[in-house]
Amino acid sequence: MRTSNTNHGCSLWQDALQRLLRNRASVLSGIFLILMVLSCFILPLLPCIPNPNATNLEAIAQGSSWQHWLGTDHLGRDMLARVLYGGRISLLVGFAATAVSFILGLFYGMVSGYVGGRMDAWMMRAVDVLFALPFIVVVIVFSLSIEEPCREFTSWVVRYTGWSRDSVAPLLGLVPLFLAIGALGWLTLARIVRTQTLVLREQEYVLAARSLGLGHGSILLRYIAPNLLSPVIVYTTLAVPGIMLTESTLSFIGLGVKAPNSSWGTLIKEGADRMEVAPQLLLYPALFFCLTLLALNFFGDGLRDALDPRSAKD
Amino acid sequence: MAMNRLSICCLYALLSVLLGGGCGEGDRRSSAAKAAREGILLLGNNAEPQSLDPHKSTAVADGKIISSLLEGLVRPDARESGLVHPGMAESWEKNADATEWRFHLREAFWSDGQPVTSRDFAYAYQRLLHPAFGGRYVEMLYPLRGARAYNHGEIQWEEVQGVSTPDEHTLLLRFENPTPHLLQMLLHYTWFPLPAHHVEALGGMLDRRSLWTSPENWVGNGAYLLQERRMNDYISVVPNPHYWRASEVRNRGIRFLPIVNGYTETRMFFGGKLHITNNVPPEMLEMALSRSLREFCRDPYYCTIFYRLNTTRKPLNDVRVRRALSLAIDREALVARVVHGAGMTAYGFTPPTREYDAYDHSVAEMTQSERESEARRLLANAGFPGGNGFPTLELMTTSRDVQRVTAECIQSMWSRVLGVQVEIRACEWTAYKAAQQNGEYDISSSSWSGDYADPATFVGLWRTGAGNNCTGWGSAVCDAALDAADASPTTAGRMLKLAEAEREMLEACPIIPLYWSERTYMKSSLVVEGWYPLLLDQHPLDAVELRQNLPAEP
Amino acid sequence: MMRFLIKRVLQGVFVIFVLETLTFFLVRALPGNPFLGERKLPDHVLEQLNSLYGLDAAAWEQYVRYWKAILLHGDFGPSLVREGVQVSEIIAQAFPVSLLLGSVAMLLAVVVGIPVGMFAAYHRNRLPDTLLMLGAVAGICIPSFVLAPLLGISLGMHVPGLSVAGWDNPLCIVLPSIALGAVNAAYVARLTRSGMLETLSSDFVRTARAKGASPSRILWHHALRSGLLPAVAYLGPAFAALITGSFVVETCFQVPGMGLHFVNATTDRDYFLIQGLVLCYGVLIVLANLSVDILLAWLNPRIRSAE
Repeated sequence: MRTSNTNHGCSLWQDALQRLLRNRASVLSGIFLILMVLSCFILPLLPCIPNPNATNLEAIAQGSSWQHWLGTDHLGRDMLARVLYGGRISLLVGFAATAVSFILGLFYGMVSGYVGGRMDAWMMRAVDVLFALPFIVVVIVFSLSIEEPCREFTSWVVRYTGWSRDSVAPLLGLVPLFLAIGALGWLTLARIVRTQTLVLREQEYVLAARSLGLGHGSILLRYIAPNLLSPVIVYTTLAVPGIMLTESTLSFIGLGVKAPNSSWGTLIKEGADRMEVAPQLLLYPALFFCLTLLALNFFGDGLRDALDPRSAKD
Repeated sequence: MAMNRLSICCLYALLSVLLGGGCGEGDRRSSAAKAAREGILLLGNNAEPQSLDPHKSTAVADGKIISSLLEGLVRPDARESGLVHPGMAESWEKNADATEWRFHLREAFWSDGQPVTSRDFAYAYQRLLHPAFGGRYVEMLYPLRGARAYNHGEIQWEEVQGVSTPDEHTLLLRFENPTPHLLQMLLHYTWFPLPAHHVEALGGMLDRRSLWTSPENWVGNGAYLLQERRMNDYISVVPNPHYWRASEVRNRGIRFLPIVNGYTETRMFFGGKLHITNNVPPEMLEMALSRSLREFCRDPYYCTIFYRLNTTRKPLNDVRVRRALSLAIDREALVARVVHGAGMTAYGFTPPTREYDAYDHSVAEMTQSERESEARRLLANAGFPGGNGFPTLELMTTSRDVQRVTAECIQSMWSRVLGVQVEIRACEWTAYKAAQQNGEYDISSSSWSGDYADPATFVGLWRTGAGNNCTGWGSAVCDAALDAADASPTTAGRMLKLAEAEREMLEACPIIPLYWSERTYMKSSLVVEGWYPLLLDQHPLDAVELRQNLPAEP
Repeated sequence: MMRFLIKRVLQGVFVIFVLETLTFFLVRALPGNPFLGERKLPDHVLEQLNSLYGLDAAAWEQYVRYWKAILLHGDFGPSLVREGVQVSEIIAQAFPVSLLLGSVAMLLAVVVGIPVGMFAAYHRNRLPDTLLMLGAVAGICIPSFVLAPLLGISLGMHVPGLSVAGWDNPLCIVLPSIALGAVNAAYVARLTRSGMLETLSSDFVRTARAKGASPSRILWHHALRSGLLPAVAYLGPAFAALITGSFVVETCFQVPGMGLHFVNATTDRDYFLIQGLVLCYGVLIVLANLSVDILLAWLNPRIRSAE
């Protein structure tokens, strides 16, 4: 692959970027995603978006109007603000949990594949066991058992940084959740990384590095990790929608994001219950959520085609 | 490969039959109509019961089923709450101060043909109270003389004076204090008899894992027999031929459906899957009303929705702060907009009845802006003018929809009126209960419904250190008034003392009453007789009659 | 082949054992206990209950007792929250329901997903392919908790015969199985398409084409078997997950299956029930993986000969 790249006079990554840009669906998805992230994280800072928690009992479950573009919910809160804030939490949990599983999976898979032998066999057995765990039980058990340490951590942060509790607590309250989701999402990645590492560690340049007396740590870091990046990136992008889906499903059944935070999942749950009364409560969060998932999927597909030209022929 | 294609064709045929088969049927409400023709009542029962053994249960949903399977000394009236009819007891008399009650049992039989005797009652009471059994709802029998001591293992059963059986058809109950409201208490399933011979045969009194409550083993003396139990699906009962009023049972069976989600339940009602539902959620009220005004029911209910405050924590240990928090809540708006009118604004704890009312009239008569300025004044006096310096408190709720919505509403009221910030923490049920019962909370969203029609089941909660108090609050004055109420031989005197205790509690404000809830539910027009509004939701289900002469659907 | 199977079975038994051990100690570490009801129990009653169910013994002792009861007597213990009911009875009631629902949903996924994937692969990069794959991605992106209430209220309330929720007649299975099967159908379609494409571009298909085999014969006779490999590999674990129930679909449609028990038992801390359910789930996962291995070996001659 390297030789073919030098022939074209550009690096693997530039090549991939060009391929990605040629794929119209993924470019559109990418733009959509950037817009979505920007609007969820920046729009709420503008004064024209009301406080998502300010109730107005005089204006409950109203339809769209100039004042409330997407109407109001069952406590008279502005739906647009709630959907944007919900998106903030959903995206945050989605990306944070993915990051957790990315780090865990990369590290575990690399070590397992690099060390090999009996150690490798045991490490992969452990992955098998974790794969067999029923997801719901694990998430409940895990998030409950780390809830208390996380709350202590929150008070510690508040005490030592002097940040206001109101701004820190809601975000830190999410930590148990994305740790729990992330802690289960890394399994597939670990398998992929391991298989790749098994191949890579027999490559000449790794053997050369080893014979030069380089430590295992730096071999992993300098020679193996960079060559793992493209399958890992592809897998990770495609894992984000799955993880967001998991978060929303958990929130939907009341085990995920908890009040005062609300994610798209909790909004959809509230909407689904009140569907006959106020359809906009289900419609808008569901629309935002599904479109984001769709864009993530298309973007992930495009990225895969770009980074893995063999499959791009399809 | 022809095989492949053939099998694929078969699969498609199967699937299309499965999907298309439904289009033939005409009546949307067929389940309910069909059941009505068969005389089977389909009843929404909120949750899967904990147990059908009256000694292993504390949940409301269980009570409805148990009361149809077993009958106590007396039975409830279908129309009027508080009115009782003779059940297993044919007649009874009490002494002057109502500390001793003598019941004369009728000739009645268990469903296996054995006679019901006074020993079955004594056996049941001993089992519930036995120190090695772990009966759940033991406090209900504590008024009996010696019951508490026996339950704590301090005395032997023979020394318990509260229960005695002079002969097979006489049951003598003696109480520590005057108990004029005993007949109300007797409607609760903890006072029901058990088939002693049968429980003994299936493992004995103390066998916790005894399977005598499973359908194939069931023996009871109530109007119905347990027929089938399918977890999370239904529990079905059929009339008991050995029941002493068997000829007066007005239907041919009941199906209890455990549907937790009120939205789903209401939809199922409109989809023709239920005759009577358990609950229409507030936001569906208008829809339910407009779809079927005739079938919509709204009954008063002996139930209070309130917030517990942890009085052992700062700043909630200051009564001014507690009162300020309570006054700042706009209950009218809450009831009108969040509960959609299915409740009454509460300024006291016990729902007021004809003979009892102890709520804070002075606060009830203020306007909301007066209440709010008073709240701000109190908070300023306590050292937090405009909410400055007030720590962020945590408001615990379960993840149930109504509770969360109410909490979100109150959170924003406190922030607007007092500048006080609270953080809502929605927990799953067990964690929430554990925190509440161990006092590990600031503010805890709570509700309480009466076990029997007497204010004592409400006010008794606030005795110092009582099991369900959980606020850390207690007052000698309140305890003394409760003791005096217990000792008072007349109903009027009891009410006076109970009201005194409640006023003392409201003054100190360890709780914030929000509203007295009403029961909103759907009752199909197929139910023609026997279901009327009752305060305690203790409907005698054998009185419910369904319209059976519906024409069969084509 | 036999040696391979025995090895896989032994591995499976090991996985189940570790799984059960983990669950046993994890659920006991959670805050709260199974006896927290609507009313608070007096402390002495709580102590009585703990000792009656042997929950006051040391954890390892309980653990040994638990395995002894299962291995010697086949006793999974009682439910601690629903007293008077055995764990085995609960599973015996719920499992057939989930099995039926899961099988129908799986059937739906296979019957819709595979032909759609094949069709799309056959018309690669043309309009039908684009449209179908757009539909498949949309199917993946509309989660069951959006689909279920939408189906329930739009179809369940208005189409005669279909029901909004409940489990009282045979047609009740239609909407839940669609809600459950749609996502899987979408996945299967995508996997089938890519599997078929890979096969269609492989050498043996090219050879067959060169020998003048008709396109439909190539599709059915040559490509189908190996083209299905990715979809089959996906279906195994998915099937195990489906027949142990989906909490979302089961709550939305009030289906008395395993999914509801999974969540309720965990949130209620019904220790014996959780352990029983996890055991059941573990066995299913292991069985599903085993049958996928066998199926893959049958579909792929290369794996067969390697063994």
